[in-house]
Amino acid sequence: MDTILTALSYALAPSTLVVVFFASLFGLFVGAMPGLTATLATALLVPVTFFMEPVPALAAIVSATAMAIFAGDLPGALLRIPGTPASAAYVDDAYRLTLKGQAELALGAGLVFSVIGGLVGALVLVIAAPLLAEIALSFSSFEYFWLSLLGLSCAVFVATGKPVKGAVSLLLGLFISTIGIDVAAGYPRFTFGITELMGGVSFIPAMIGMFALSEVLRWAVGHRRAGVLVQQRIGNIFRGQLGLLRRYPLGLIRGSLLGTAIGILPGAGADVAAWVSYAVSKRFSREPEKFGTGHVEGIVEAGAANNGALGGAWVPALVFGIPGDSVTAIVIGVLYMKGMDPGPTVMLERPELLYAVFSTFFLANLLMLPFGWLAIKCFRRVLHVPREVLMPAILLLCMVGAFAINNTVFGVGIMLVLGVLAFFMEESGFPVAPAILGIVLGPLVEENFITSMIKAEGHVLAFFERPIAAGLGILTILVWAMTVRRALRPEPQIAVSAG
Amino acid sequence: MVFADRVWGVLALLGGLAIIFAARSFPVIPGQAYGSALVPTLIGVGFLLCGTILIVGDLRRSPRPPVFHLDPEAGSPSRLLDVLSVPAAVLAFILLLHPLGFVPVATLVVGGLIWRFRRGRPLSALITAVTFALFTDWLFRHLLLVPLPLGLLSSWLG
Repeated sequence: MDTILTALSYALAPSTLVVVFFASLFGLFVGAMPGLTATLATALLVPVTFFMEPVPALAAIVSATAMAIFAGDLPGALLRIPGTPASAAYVDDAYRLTLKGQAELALGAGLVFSVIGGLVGALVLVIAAPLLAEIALSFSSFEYFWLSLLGLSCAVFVATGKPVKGAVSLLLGLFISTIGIDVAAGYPRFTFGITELMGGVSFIPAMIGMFALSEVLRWAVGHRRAGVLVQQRIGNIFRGQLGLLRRYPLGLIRGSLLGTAIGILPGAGADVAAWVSYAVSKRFSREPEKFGTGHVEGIVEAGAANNGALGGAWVPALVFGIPGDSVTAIVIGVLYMKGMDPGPTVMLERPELLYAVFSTFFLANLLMLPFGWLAIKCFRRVLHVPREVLMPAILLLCMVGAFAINNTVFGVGIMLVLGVLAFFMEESGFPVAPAILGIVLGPLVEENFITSMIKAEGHVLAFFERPIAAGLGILTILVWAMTVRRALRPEPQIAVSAG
Repeated sequence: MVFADRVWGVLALLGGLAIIFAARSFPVIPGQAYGSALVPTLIGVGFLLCGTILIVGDLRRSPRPPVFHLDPEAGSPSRLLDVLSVPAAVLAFILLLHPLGFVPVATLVVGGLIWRFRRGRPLSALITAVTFALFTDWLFRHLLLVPLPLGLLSSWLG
């Protein structure tokens, strides 16, 4: 009980609330801007959180991402341009509702069911994380090796485009993680005599480059779609939502739980959750023929799923140190910086900090109702912010953020190199998220692999001797088999879209 | 700006070979069979495998995609300048941050980019850039205590 009270005192401290307030506004703005993602919001926030206490730092990320995922529905419904990839699944339905003059219903459903999905995700996080941590306490290097490999393999499996491209991206991330002094032998690897590389490639400049700078470059290259608002005035968005709740209770529960479960899967995040939930909703609907024509059922289920996934993704991140999606990959980096090394022991050593973070999930989701309403009202103004001014400002924040970590321009150089590389990779159909997961998980995979190899004296079968390790190992091999099967399927004759 | 898969394949092959070659020079810890070179070597092998798959897959495609494909819209000289101005701005920031200081270099970089992207209105670009530069300086240097270099303005802002 003391732990819960201490946690609440951290979560409701004025400094945390102020941070949550501003981070929420920031998340809403980024999410509502077509093309800017929740991951970009997190990437830009990290340099600022670097200088905060752990709870406000994590609360900032939680609230900004939750708001950004919801706000992605706004340009989706009003302009047919999903604000974030997580809103893409139901953008046609939302936009067609707007064309029918029912923008309020689409936006209200997006908001109300995002809140409910987010609360379910947070609840699952609170219940599942301590239970899984108990199990994880008995894990040895074998289990951790398979678990981290499973996370990386899932990232390749769920990545868009060809699996081989996901694998190249992952290998690049793993390679970057080997740069610097090897922990085991103390030998500098791939540093080319550069002192700044001795400690390895700093994660934050790498992440800012790959997620934010590449975004600015992509905008500059010409993906500048201007939207035209078809409905200028938005009425009461809460009207009719109670009716939807009564009409689709099963869809809401299914979407929230499925979204949370997909979030828990390493490598799959809010966008995958929304697509899968939308497909499931259509499959079990009494009116599947209406999907895609301006039907609200898919928005209810997938809208709940994408916000549920956010909470779910934190479960493997906190319990095992394995990110559930690209946002939690960044979160893991932040946890290490804050001295809260993710893993089951953090549950035992610093429970009050974790429960404080859990509380901010509930806080952020509840705040979403008034903030979301405000965002819908102000959306027209957000659209008027000229991109020609916004993008240079984002670039400036990227550069300062990359500089601030070690107070050296070397970080800015890393950001530039990896940002340009990520830009060309995405243009050519290579997903970038596996590379970030590789950078974060690389040291964990290597450490546990080498330790396990030494323990097993090179016998590969020893990796399957412990029951949980065997189960995880078989699961990983199954994911590989499915990935190879997917890779061997004939390629559909459509142009590969970038990103 | 799409490079064909075979180009990426060749890069992966070359990268993989370079990693394996470099890893061979890593020292071995006496009495231990598995050391610094193991994981980089496996990564190198992974690159060789993926590189081969990318090259073979691309060469089998019919019609074979061009080595480099540029969107017609993105290929216009003015759009190319837009794209190039972004890394140029970052390079300018890296080179000029310490000699000029944060506020002047941020003004230069942001103002230059706004001017470039908007195709004009230099005065408005300058005013916006100065505002951004001063706000970012306040946020990072005063609030978050990041030691952003003062440079030319050390006597004013210090």
